[in-house]
Amino acid sequence: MSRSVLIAIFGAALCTVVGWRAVHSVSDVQVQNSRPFIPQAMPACPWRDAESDLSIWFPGATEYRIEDTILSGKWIELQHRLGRALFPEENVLHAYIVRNHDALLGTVLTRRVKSENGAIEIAVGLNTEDRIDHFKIQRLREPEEIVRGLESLNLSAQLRNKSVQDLDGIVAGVTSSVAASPAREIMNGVRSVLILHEAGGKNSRGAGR
Amino acid sequence: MFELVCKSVLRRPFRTGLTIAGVALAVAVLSLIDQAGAAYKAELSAELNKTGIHLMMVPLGCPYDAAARVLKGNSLESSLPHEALEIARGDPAVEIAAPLLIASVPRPEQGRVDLFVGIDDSGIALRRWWRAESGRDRFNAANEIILGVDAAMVEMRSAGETLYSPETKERFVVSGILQRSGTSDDSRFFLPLETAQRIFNSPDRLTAVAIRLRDPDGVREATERLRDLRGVQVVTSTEMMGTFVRILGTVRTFLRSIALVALCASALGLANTLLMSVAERRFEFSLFRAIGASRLQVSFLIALESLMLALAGAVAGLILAFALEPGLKALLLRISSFPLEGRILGLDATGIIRTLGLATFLAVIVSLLPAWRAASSPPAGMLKGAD
Repeated sequence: MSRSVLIAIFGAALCTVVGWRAVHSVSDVQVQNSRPFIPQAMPACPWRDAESDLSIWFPGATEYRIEDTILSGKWIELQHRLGRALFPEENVLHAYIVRNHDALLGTVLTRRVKSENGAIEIAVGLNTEDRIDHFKIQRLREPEEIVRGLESLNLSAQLRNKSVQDLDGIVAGVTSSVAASPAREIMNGVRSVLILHEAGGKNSRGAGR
Repeated sequence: MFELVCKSVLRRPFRTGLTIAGVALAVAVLSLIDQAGAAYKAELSAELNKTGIHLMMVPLGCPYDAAARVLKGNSLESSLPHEALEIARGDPAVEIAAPLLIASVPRPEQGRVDLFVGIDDSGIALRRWWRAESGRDRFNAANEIILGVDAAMVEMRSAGETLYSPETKERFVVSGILQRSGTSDDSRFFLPLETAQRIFNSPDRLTAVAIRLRDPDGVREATERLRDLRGVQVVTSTEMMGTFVRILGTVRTFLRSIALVALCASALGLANTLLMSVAERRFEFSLFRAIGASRLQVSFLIALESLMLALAGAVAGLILAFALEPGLKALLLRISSFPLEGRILGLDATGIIRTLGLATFLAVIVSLLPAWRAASSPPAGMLKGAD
């Protein structure tokens, strides 16, 4: 190989390195200076007490895994069913699939709902028929009287064995209680997350069975 | 001569390739470790400079632990008397003395720990990075609260809405949501100082006093004056930085040692390659000597070959380092709570010259023995033997 060819290869390698660095520096700066304002999606609501809930809600469960299903392709259908525009975080369904080895035991869905005094985080356990078996308020920032009011409404019993189609009546039925407003938000949240699960969750779980 | 060297290098392409790869790997590892350490140091320095804090008054105890915890917005177990603030504000060298009261409110049954930070206008002035995403970045009333952007998202609050604290049974009005700053402020709840002192039963007590001096050069004198206070320790940002850098330096020295061992191994590989090449070409070198080449010229041939291999390895190592940089950054993010912004490797003239200089030095050192061997090939003896 001639000297000139070797020198050319050597020079090309150096130029590649320098050019790559230069391009990336410019593009980094451009991204920092001209980033458009994009409304941020809320971080996914975690399943806070997963280990404890798993043993109570799904006896015999050996594992759970997180599945994120993209729902942005179904936003027209979802907007129609929800009766409102989708929130940014609703473009992805964040679900916890519970299994006993290869056998599907159920699904846990979590959600934050907005209440008067702060966010309320809920967790809903579904059986393989997509009916609610368990319900739990994970976190809330409500005064004592509202917390007692929510306990007296016994939302867990009201939601047991309900499917997404059954929830419309329940949501409308919560009126006369000091906790009526947060209770309605919770019920709406449960209904919303079940609608999202119906739109996207079944497809992903079906592939895993 | 250059063409001669190129031909000899390419005579055994596989061996040459392995030698270059060995040098490249060692150079890549050394560059990444070196630059990552430098990047962390620069990030630490920037983080401390961003705070605009030159000194911090903290209660007795480990001052660096206390200062680090306060910087990260974590509470301490003991507190400062309010007099510490008055004395700090009375010091002529002090531009801003900002009191802080940090209280953590755990709710284990809900897996939550809320961190409330009580600050006043001087504390807000010290936070140069504060910008309101919505609402205001100031308090207008005692029952107002400012939320970091992550805290606001988790609590689903907007400016003007109510936030209730069940533990303290206090209801606040959100006066503003802060823009993301990349600091611990993003997940904190900020209250007016007097409100925080009342709620957390700490009248006239403070967690720390953060100080910005009029002239940073006067930090030593100011530190000596403020250290006279009883029950108070004063930590400078240089000391905080120094401690962090010392810890980082220890790790970096250890990693550098490993990289240098790799570099020595690659140097030995290069030397081995040259020795094998010399052994294969002894007749050739004898011929050169027989037709009038000096020992120096023969030695120079070997040195040039060594230089070519080393420089090729250095360039390949730089390219490899750039290729590995994203992976290293991801690994560092996973194992460290101090993320690196931007690129770890900075391609500047100094970095390139340093790498190529190291390669040149390596080439010269490892070529000494092979060059001497090549130059001492006896012309007559070898040629007679070839017959």
